[in-house]
Amino acid sequence: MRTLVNIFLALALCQNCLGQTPVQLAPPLLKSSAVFFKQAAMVELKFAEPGTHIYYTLNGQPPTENDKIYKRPIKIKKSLTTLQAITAGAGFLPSEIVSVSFVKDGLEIQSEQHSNPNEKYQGNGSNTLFDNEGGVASMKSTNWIGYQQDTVEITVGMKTFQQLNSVLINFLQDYKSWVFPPQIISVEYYNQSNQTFEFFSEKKIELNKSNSAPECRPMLLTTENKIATDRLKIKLYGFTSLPDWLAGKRRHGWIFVDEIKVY
Amino acid sequence: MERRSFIRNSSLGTLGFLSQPSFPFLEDPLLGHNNKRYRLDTKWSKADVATNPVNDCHEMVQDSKGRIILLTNEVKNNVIIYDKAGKLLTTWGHEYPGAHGLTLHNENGTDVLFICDNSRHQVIKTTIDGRVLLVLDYPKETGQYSKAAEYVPTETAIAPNGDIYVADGYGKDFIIQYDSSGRYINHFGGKGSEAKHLANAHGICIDQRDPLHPCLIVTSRQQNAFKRFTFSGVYIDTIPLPGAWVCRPVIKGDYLYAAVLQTNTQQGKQSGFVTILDKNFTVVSNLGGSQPQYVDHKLDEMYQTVKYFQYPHDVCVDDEENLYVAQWNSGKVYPYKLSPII
Repeated sequence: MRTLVNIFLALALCQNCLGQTPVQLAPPLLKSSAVFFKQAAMVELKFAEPGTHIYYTLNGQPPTENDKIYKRPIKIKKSLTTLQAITAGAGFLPSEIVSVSFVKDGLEIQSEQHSNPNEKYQGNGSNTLFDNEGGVASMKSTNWIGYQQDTVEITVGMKTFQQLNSVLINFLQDYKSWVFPPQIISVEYYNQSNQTFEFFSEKKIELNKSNSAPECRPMLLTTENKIATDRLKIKLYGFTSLPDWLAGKRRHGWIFVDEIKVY
Repeated sequence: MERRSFIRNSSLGTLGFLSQPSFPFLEDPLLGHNNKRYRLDTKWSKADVATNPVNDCHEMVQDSKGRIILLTNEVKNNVIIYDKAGKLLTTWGHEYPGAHGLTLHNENGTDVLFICDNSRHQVIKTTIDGRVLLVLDYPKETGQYSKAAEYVPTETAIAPNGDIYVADGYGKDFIIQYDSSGRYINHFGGKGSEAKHLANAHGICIDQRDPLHPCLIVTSRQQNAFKRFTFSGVYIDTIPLPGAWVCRPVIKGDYLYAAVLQTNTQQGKQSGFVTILDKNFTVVSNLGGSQPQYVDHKLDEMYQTVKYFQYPHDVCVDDEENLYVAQWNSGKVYPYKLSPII
């Protein structure tokens, strides 16, 4: 008899489950020292809601409740590490993901020259692209240099002639403000024996449809074999027409860059 | 409460196979901390959306008859008057496209309302049923304004002597003081980098909890803070509320209540909650927000924890300590009601 009553109760409750909207948790508060770091970066997560946990990953995969539970501040040492975190528990729907990418300092850059940016977004002095400052996902951060043109060229001079195999460029993505990473990034290196710039690496970028919040999008371009050089030429080709799913489609976008690393 | 604990207990036994038996459904969740905990009712309003829609629900007050008055920028019915059970009693107002601030003042035994209209760049004093008594245009007497468009009033507060204080929260962030007849007296605040300056002076209220030191409390929303001033506009101090985009302060009894439009680190993401401070300006409870924590008397950054609200814009506390929360840009939802758990 008791079992029957329980089964009846279970069915009644189930119907409630279907008819009502569960409530979602908010994501954790994320506090970090700096996005660009020399030795290590520290990141702290907070979420003061009883019965819940913070789950996180460092491998680029979206976190689930099967991932690590956050217990104490995390030390980041690896060159390009993306921390992603959610909250879950207490019977709520898990939160949206918060994420931040940390970028380790690279080989020493001597100097850099770039196409003339828009007068409103000039960056922070002549070292602005290799000063380890910025990584803030907001147009208001003064570290960004901003362009509203199809092609941008940046030449990077290394401190010494040396072996290298990858380049990282940090872009801002803020759909609401029409800021996008470039559609194509192309990198050439200076071949001393031929005295010409030659192909190093190229990357084509897709716009991420699902995520419309402002975020940093660090892009890593790599060659298979190390190349010896002291100069790199980076060309950025902006989206000349924007995809249909963006409101106000087919308008000219902006490109915002704030840091370059060479490894 | 009984039903919930029964469900919880049952779920431990035979009902354990149910996927989420203790799910906190929107119908019956418990919010808040310490002695300020509430049960949320999202279906309080019995208004019919076909005949009485709302747009942004900006502010709410309770009149001396106990009725709950809502101000919305929906010109089909700018003012909706409810009873406490959520039954729509009456509506009025079609000429307030930028209806934003709503303050009730008892003027010698008669309720009057002060409406701030963002679009009309005016403050309008009305009777409780909508007859216009006084209109305050942009305050050129201050010497700070050259045209009406620069003046976007968001809130008023009425001092015990009848003086009217207007917060130009979406304009130049000045607080403008008038006498009860609307004659300009003084202005203070404004934008700037000093402590006395304001950034998005979104709300203002009169604080008489300390009878020896009554004062004005003004919102500086972008600074995530309240600032206190004397009635003559002298800056007293700042109450930092890290992380919280606080709207107007609302005082009832010993407590100060405020809607938090959004969390600083989650801007534009429906990250609001409601905060409650005791008379020492210590945060005691956040409804849908983080448990308040002080380290060395300093308040830790606050943030939304549960998405009960989207963008709360005002809190009204009625004579039975129930709360009503009006929301901006939240899918045209009617206000929610929260009943205290005793």
